[in-house]
Amino acid sequence: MRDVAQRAGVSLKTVSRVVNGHAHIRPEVVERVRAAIADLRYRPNESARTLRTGRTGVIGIGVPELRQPYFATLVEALVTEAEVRGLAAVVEPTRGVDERERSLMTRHGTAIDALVLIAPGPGLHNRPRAELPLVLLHSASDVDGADRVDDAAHAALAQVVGHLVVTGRRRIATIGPDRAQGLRQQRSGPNSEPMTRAVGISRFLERNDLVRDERLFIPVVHRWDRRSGARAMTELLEREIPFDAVVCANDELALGAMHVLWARGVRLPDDVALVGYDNIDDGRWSTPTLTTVDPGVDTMARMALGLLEARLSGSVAGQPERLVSPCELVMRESTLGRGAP
Amino acid sequence: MADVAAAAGVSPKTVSNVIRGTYPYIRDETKHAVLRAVDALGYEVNPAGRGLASGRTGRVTIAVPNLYQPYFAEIAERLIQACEELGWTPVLRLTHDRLDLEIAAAAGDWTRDVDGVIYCPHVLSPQVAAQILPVVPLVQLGGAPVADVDAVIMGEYEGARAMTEHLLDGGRTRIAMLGASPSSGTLPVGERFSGYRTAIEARGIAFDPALVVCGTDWDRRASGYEAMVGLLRSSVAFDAVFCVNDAMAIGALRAMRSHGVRIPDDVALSGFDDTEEAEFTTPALSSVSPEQQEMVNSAVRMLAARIGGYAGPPRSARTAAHLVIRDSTRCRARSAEKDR
Repeated sequence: MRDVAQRAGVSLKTVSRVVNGHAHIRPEVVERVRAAIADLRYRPNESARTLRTGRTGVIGIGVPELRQPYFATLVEALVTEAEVRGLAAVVEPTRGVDERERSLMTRHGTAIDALVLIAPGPGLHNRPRAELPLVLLHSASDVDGADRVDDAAHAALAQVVGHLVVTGRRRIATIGPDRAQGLRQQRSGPNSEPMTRAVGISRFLERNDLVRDERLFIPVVHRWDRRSGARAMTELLEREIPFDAVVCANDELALGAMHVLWARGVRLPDDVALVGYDNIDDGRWSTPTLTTVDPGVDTMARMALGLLEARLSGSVAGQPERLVSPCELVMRESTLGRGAP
Repeated sequence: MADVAAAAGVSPKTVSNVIRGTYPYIRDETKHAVLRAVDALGYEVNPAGRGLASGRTGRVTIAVPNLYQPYFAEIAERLIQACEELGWTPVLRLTHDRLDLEIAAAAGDWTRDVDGVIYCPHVLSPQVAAQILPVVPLVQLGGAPVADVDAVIMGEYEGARAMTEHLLDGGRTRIAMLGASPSSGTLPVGERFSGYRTAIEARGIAFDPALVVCGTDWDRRASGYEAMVGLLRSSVAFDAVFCVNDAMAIGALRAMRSHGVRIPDDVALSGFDDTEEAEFTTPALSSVSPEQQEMVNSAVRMLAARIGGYAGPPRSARTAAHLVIRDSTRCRARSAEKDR
């Protein structure tokens, strides 16, 4: 810094004020200091700056993985929303392991100002660092003191069932647990019994006087990806129980299922209607295009960062908040047929 | 720290040695006493203070254009994992296809206090990139080689050439290419285009510029759709399409199926990147695997060397590419029998 001051012919104090963006400095002085900085490639020591303000300007984002398009979309929205607020993000794939979620809080505990956890595991009952603001997205359970942001999955499922009933479907199969039970995917490890039922959707079936056939539920005991969807659809077809619609836990499962239906010559949606969840971009380009639920990723990201910022600024204290993003049913060809809007 | 020292009955220097693990010759009971005191007092290392003392932070910037392109989501995830294995804290930044942000990423002073940067250039041209003087060690992943920068170069040329040869081997002679060009009405630039053109001309087939069509944003599936609509409207005859990536191929696939073009009976279709979605399209999409893990490993190795003090001339590593053949490029004779 001394070199910069000398080169620009100003005091150390002035260099500091320019670097830190203070007002009330003559433009030509600012110009001179900047030129000197550029010449010398001087870089402010951010460690010293952080030490003084106590903030790092970095938030942590824990996500099961980025290779699943929905999670990638959600992280992209969160990172973009953080950037709008002048924050950078450390993104850590947790692979759904509780230990990695906890270590995000302890290991990075002082290197981040706040933390967002996507689809955290059930083992995360309390926070190792209570003073670190924490927002949970798509969490299956509460963590004490943590704010939550969710999508309105119950309402969305009611809409999905309503849509299928209106279009004449009566025997509805499900692949994976329904989304009213959260977004927690099965991993290997101690907490890995598969979710065996789609309990949320049953309620809406009953409400529409539809019989729930448990044999039409195919559990997914691994990643909710295309391969699992293809495997589940193969199993469903092998059961040889009639069905005329399939609701999948996410779009990827639905796209894998679609691949198998196409290969077997099952006509979509004439023979079988297919519904996903998440509204990932891929579903707009499949043939047929995929009917799905849009959980409102940008809205959730805005809500999550808004909560974090409020906690950091101290304007919100005390009881944790829970915000819910409204969902939208996106009707496409896989339920409406060719020429759907 | 003074409190910890007092509680453990040792000097602050000893506490520092234990916490930082910098000095191996400390008796076990001393170490345990310090750790007990740390635990009891809830003392936390201030990483900002540590950065001040060592000049290193353990933070590394990973800059990719976006995450909606499955290729970049996969690269980002693999880079994060590789960095963590070295004990680094990777900070993910998105450059959103903005030139100013790519320059900031490449210059290394965009993110506070990092030891190094790995970035994927996207809109930044090699000419502009060569003007940037990075302030921290920098490794470029993918893109065209830039003078004076450590880089991992993807086997784009080899992959594109091999895929085009595969299409030619299948009896296709009018092979279109869907890509992106720097400005409308001009041919695409880059290794994938060169590989495609070389393969065609090597078989004695004249290159036909009418077969090269471009979308407005090559990361978007929508762009593949629009480019295919452009090709179909031009009434140029074609029997195969090589797409610059899987994202465009998936948009093109949808456009072709909507227009009643049968794949691969009428037209063979291929992508590039071997993303997970390619395996489950209808029909499944042939693609080129650029061996992402190898690219990531090379990039991280290069950065580790620079951070570790390697001051030699810039290096570049070329990675290979291999074909992943699925139904979308099967020969006509065999395509009647559908995938199980």
